[in-house]
Amino acid sequence: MTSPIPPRVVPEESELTAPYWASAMLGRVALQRCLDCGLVWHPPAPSCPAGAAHRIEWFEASGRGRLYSYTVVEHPVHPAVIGALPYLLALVDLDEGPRLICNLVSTDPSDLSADLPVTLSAGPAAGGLTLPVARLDESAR
Amino acid sequence: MSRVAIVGVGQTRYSRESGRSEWQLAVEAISNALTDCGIEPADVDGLVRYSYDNVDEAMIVRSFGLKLRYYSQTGFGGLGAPATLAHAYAAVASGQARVVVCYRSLNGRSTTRYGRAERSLGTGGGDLIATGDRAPSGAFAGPYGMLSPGQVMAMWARRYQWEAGLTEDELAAATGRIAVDQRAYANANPDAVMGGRPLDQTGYLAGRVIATPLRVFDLALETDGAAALVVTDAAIGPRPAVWIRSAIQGLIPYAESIATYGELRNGPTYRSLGSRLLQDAAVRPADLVSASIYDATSVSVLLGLEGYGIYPVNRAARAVIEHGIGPESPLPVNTSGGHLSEAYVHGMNLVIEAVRQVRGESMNQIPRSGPVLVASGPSGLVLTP
Repeated sequence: MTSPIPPRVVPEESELTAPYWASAMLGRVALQRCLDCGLVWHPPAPSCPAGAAHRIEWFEASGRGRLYSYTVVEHPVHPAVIGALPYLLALVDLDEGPRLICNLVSTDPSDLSADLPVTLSAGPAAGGLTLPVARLDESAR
Repeated sequence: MSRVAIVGVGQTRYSRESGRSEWQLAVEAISNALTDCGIEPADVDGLVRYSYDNVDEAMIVRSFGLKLRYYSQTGFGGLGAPATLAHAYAAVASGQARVVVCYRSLNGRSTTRYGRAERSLGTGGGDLIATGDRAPSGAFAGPYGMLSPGQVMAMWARRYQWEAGLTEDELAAATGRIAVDQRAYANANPDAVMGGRPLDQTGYLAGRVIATPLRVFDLALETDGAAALVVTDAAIGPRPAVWIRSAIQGLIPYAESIATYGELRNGPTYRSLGSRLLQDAAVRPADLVSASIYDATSVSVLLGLEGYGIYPVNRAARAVIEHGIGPESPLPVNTSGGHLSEAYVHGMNLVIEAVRQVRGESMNQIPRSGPVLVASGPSGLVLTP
C-alpha cells in the first residue's frame, strides 16, 4: 500500500508577483528596483516606497545573502509538511537589501550563527515545490 | 486633558471547548462588562471590535437593541487589543460617543486554531494555496513551510539570542523564567485554563520543541472565550475608575502583527513609539507598577520589555533570568498568567488584567498604586487609578 502524496503548498500568483514566481520556479530570486532612487524591496509592491511616481523595474538578484535568523521546525502545524520534518526555516538578508523567507538545506543547525553568508539556488522547499533555497557558503566555513 | 475611563470589564469562562457560538460568548462577556459598571445597554452608543472577529457590529447591535452613533475596527490581530481601547478613548474624548464597548470573542481552540495552518491555506487543483504576502502562510512563506505564528516568533527568538549575545541555554533560562512566573500567577487565578497545573524550569525544559528555540510552554494557549470592556467619560459604577492616560496604535512598514521583514520589536522605531506612549502619560518606565505585555510567545515579553524602555536593548533576558517577572520583580508582567497560562483571548484578557491591577482587584494584586502599561507590539495604553 502506498501512502497518499501530500498536497503541495503553492503560492498564489498575481499580476504584481508573477515576475517573482517566474524566476523563483527556476531557483532564482527576482526583485523590484527603483530606477530613480535605487531602492530595492521585497515582497513586490506596486510602487517605490520612496516615491510613488518613481519608475521601477525587475532584476535578478545575486542570490547571495546573510543568515538573519532560522528555526528548526519540529512540530507540524499542517499535515502537508509532516513528511518534510524536521526542516529549517530561514530569514536571509540579501546582499541587495531585502529579506527573504526560505528553507536552509544541507546544513547542520549546530553550525549556524548570526549573519553567516549563504547562497540561494534551486532546491526542495518544505511545501513540496522546487524554489530558491539557501545553502551555507562553503567558502565561509 | 480629556477624562476617559475604563469602567467595566466582563468575560466568559475560558475553556478549550465552550460548546457555544462566538456570538453567544460575545453577548455574555458584554453583558458582564455592562453589569460590572451598572450601565444599561440603552446608554451604549459606541462599539469597537477586531477586524478578525467573526461577531460583527450588527450582531451585537441586534442582541442588545443598541442605537450606535460610533463604531470602528482594529486590524492585525493582537495589535488590536490595546487599539480597541485607543479607538474608544478617541471617540469618547472627541464626543463622538459617550459609552463605548470593546470586545473580542473567539472559539480559538474548538474552531479557529491560530496555531494551525488549516484555516489559512486555500485549496485548488489538489494543492494548498498560500495567499497574500504576509507571514505566516502567505505566498512567500507557506511554500517553505512557514505556517504558524510560533514559527515566525521562533525566528525572533533566535535573532534576539544572537543580538543579545546569549547562548541557547541562557535564552531558555529567560524564556523559561517567563513561562514559569506566568504559570505561578495562573496557579493563583481561578479563571486560568492552566490554573491547576504548576510548572517549574525542569518541566519547561522537558516541554516538546515546537520550532527551535521555542518549546510548547513558550507558546500561547488556544482558548475558547470572550472578553469585553466599557469606556466612558466619567467614573461611573461601583468599581474604581481606570483612567486612560495615553494610547498609541502604531504601524510602520512590515510591522503588522507577525512580521518577518522589519526590525525586531526592541528596535529603534518600536522604542521610539514606546517612549512616546509613556511620555504622553507623563510616566517613566520606573514608575510602572505592572504591565500586560502581549505574549503570543515568551520571547515577545523580552522584546516588549525592551521596546517600552523597561530594560535597555538586549538586556531584558539577563534581567529576567536574575529577577523574573513575578510579584517581587522590578516590573511584574502578565499577572493573570497571560496568554501562556491564563487564556488566549487575543490580548483582551491582558487588558482586563491591567484594569484589575489598577482597581486593586487582581488575583495577584501588586500592592502598590500607580500606572500600568498595556503593550502589544506598536500598540499600547497607559492606565492609572
